[in-house]
Amino acid sequence: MDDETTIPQHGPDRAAAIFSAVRPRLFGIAYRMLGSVAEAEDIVQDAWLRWQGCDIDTIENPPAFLATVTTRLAMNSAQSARSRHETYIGPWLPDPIDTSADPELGAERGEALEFAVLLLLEKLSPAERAAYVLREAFDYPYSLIAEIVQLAEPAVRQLVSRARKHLAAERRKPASRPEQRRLLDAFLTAAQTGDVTSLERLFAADVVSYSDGGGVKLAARKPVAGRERVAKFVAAFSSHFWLGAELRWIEANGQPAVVLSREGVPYAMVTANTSGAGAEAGIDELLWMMNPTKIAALA
Amino acid sequence: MRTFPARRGTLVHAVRLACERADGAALAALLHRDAAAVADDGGLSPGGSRRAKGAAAVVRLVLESVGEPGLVATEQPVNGQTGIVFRRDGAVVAIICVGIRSGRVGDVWIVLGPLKLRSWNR
Repeated sequence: MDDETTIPQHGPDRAAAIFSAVRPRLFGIAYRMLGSVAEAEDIVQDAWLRWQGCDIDTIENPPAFLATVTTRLAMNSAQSARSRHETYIGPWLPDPIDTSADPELGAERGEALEFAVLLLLEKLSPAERAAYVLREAFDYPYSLIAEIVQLAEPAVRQLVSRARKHLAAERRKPASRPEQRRLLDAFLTAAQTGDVTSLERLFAADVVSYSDGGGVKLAARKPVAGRERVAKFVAAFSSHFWLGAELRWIEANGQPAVVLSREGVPYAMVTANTSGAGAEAGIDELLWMMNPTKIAALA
Repeated sequence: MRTFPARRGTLVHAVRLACERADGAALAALLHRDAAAVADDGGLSPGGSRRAKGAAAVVRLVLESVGEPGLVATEQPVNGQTGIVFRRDGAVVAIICVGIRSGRVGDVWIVLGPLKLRSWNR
């Protein structure tokens, strides 16, 4: 928390300056935990009132103190929000927020803001939510989170890891660019030799292969799904499909892709949507573009 | 024939066009086979907040919610991702966020409750 440089050392403005420097973060914590703009604003307001009642010179780390106060208020509110949602008529969604108007909330700290994540967070206990948000969105050390949610550090690590697992299935992190390229490269090698075992190793269990053939020959009309089926599918056309193919790496939709040509004429493009990192990284979707009209544009 | 799976920006753009034109078929072509939708009106009235499962029901719910003429739709950042904001006479009356599944629209979240949209109208 390095924003203290602009904060007056003394005087009545100090408390206000410290508070306004961390206000966006406090709102960010409360909003993520509750999915409600109005409730998050109330909590920030409450935190401000408590802050005004403090002798701030006795507080060693004001930003951590304010994050603690806010998180605990949000945990209490989450408890009652849960019962409020029970009386809600019909399904509940979070309040959307304009992240272009709030760069601090949007660009800099965009983690754990998407609807998908907020809806999953809503299913967790208030302590789990707090631990996940503080860790994932704000990178707080486990020791500090432990203090904030008043649990032992190992218990907090467990909370965060459980919450992550909860969310991971729904929200896979896209692979990094080098990882993406490595996976596609390894895929090309395995696909050309029809190596089913290596292909399977590169695929996520629920991998799907999509082809856009624009209605022409060779392209599978329906998506092929599942690790074993996709591996067999790819291996099955290994011999003729890659025969005499010249491979050229390009960027398609902002990700690495490979154009296949014969004698300078492109006939297919392949790219992959990937997720995870290291040993966990895998291909979620294979995308085959064989539509002649679209392929012609790649020449 | 289904379209090639696309990235978020392309999908959101196509959803916006389908909504603006109230084009159910175009919208259906973008949906995952297990697509679901939720329209939240604020939870104050019975039958107001609704859930839909399956492409046909999702299309119906989306078009009932935002398919009326006179709404102006824009693609802009919502909760850190591109969403669709619907305005009538300048006031935000609905916001759609989508969840992507296997390169298609898996979830459509439609926020309609005026209180839930208050921060967009001040």
